[in-house]
Amino acid sequence: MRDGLMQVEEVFGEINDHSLASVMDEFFNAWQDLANDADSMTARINLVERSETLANTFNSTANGLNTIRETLNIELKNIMDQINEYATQIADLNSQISRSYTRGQDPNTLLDQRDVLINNLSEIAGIRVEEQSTGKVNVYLGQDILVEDDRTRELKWEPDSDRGKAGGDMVFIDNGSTVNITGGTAYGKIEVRDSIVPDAMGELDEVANFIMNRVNELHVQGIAKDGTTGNYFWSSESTGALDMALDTVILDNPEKIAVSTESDTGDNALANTIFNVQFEESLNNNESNVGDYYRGIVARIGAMTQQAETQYEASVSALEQSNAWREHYSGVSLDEEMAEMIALQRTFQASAKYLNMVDDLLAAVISIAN
Amino acid sequence: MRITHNTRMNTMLVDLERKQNEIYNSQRILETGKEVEKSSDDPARAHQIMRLNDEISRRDQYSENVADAIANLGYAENEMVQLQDILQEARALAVQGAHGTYNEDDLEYLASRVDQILHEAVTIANARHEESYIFGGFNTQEAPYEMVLDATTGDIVMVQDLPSGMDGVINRIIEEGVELPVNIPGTDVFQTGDPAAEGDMFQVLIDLRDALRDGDIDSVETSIGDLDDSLDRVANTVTKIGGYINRLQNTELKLEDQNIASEEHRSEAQDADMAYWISEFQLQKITLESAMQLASKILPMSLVNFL
Repeated sequence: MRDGLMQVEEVFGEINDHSLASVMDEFFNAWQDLANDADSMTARINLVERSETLANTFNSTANGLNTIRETLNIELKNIMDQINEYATQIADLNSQISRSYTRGQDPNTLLDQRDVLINNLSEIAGIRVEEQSTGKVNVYLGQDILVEDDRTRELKWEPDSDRGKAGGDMVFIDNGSTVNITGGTAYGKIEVRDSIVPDAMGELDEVANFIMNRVNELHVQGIAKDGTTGNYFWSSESTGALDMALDTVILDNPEKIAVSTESDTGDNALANTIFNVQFEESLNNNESNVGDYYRGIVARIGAMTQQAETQYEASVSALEQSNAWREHYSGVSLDEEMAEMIALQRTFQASAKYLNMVDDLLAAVISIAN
Repeated sequence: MRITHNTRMNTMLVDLERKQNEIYNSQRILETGKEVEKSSDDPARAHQIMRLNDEISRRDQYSENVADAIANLGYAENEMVQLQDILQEARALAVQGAHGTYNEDDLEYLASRVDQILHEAVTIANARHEESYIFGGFNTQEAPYEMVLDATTGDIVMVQDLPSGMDGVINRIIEEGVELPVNIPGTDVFQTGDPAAEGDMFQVLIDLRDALRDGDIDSVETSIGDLDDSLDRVANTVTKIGGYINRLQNTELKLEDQNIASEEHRSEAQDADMAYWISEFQLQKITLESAMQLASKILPMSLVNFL
């Protein structure tokens, strides 16, 4: 969870520098440079460049988010393979252990091996373990049984055509039901893949679409430097942050940029209106303007990351405590073992002395008999 | 609690990692000079910093707009002051002509001087600043005033303006939600569109020139009144421009002050107190060093060594 969130935060970039926030500022400012010099080609070319930078930054941010989801997806598939592997081994050990018990042996090594496997499995997925009277254990994955006696319910990966490379679920092969992961690293990965990243992506799309739709709405009404009207500024085929792009006509012909509603020269009223789009409070139920809304996204991800970080720290401490107590009960202290060994050595020496004495006594008795 | 070798080892490792993390954090702060770089460093402060970045960059843009507006208006002001000078000269010529004591040659001389002034006035009306005509309203790329010449004498018989956009007002955004005009449309000064002659400064000058040539003293006297109307319009415009420039200069100062305040504010939210972090770093270094020394001394200790 923590790692995933940190990656998401990284995608949004540092708060200064060339983050989306500053690129967005520069885009709107470029409309002002053009308003200051409405007939200029230089200011138009500058605006085209700023707009392309804005589109590219939106594209790469969206791409970054997608990559996170795809990577997590691959990692989840690997986790599923590991779960299958561990489950099979646990089932195998279950049968060996119960056979040892029936033969009256103490299968300590096997029990240790199984403990390690259960440990590993609980790290990657939330599990519950039930010990049977036979010495076998049943392992539950969420509410569903995964290992029962010496049988394993194998998992398979079911791809999701809607989400493509960024989606898919673990399902039980026997009844096809979806595995409900409730803990472990897998849980965090699913959270980030299925809710945190898609939420961030949705909000990013909102920002991108707001800028594209509003600017286009105004721009089509305007008169370009070459006298034409009805030109789109952003490509009408763009649907969100991922494919945000300038209209190809504008890209090649900056004179098609409209800054006016009344005249093909001089008038800059439209450029001023477009600059003011950034103050329109029409996002977040008409409560935020585009800058506020974007900053809100970044701050929220930051807060989640920070919280995950704190929880991580807390769980590291808790883990440290638990490990210390486990050592307390089951750990081997070299010093204790050494001390015990010395005690045993002394007992052995004492017994040997006693034996010596008995030997001497017997020898004396025999010599008397002779 | 029973302390085994493993307990000591684990605790030591966790503690060392924690200290390394602390040192890494201080090191990063010292290297960048910034306490908040990522949103998760402090979401509230990060939000504030981003908002301030936004405001500062926008105010920089407003400052640019204001500087640009001052330059434009200053240029228009210069032109208007020149226009005022030559109109006053034309008025003085008209007053001389109206005395009735001048002979035909003298009047012809006065008429030719008025004709020169007329040409100068048209030049001023077609003035350009950075490639743009400044008195043509939206007509910035095309000379707004055209002289219509008499085919035989070559005299200006009328001055024609462009058919549309002459009254266009160009605005600059100088603060959030505040727009200010940065041009003087020709219709304010040269040709108001008033059908009477006094609304057309060029026509007033043409009439004066012709009246002087014809020795028509009555018409010359009418021209004096008309010139006064034109001079009033120019004087009003100069005052208006002065007012705009004044307001722009105040805005410029205000924007600067606001940005200094915002930058201070941002620095408070973002920049690290270096003295604090350097001493913190020293302290952390000492703690890490002693922890490592302790580890190297204690971990190898075992009863085995003494048996």
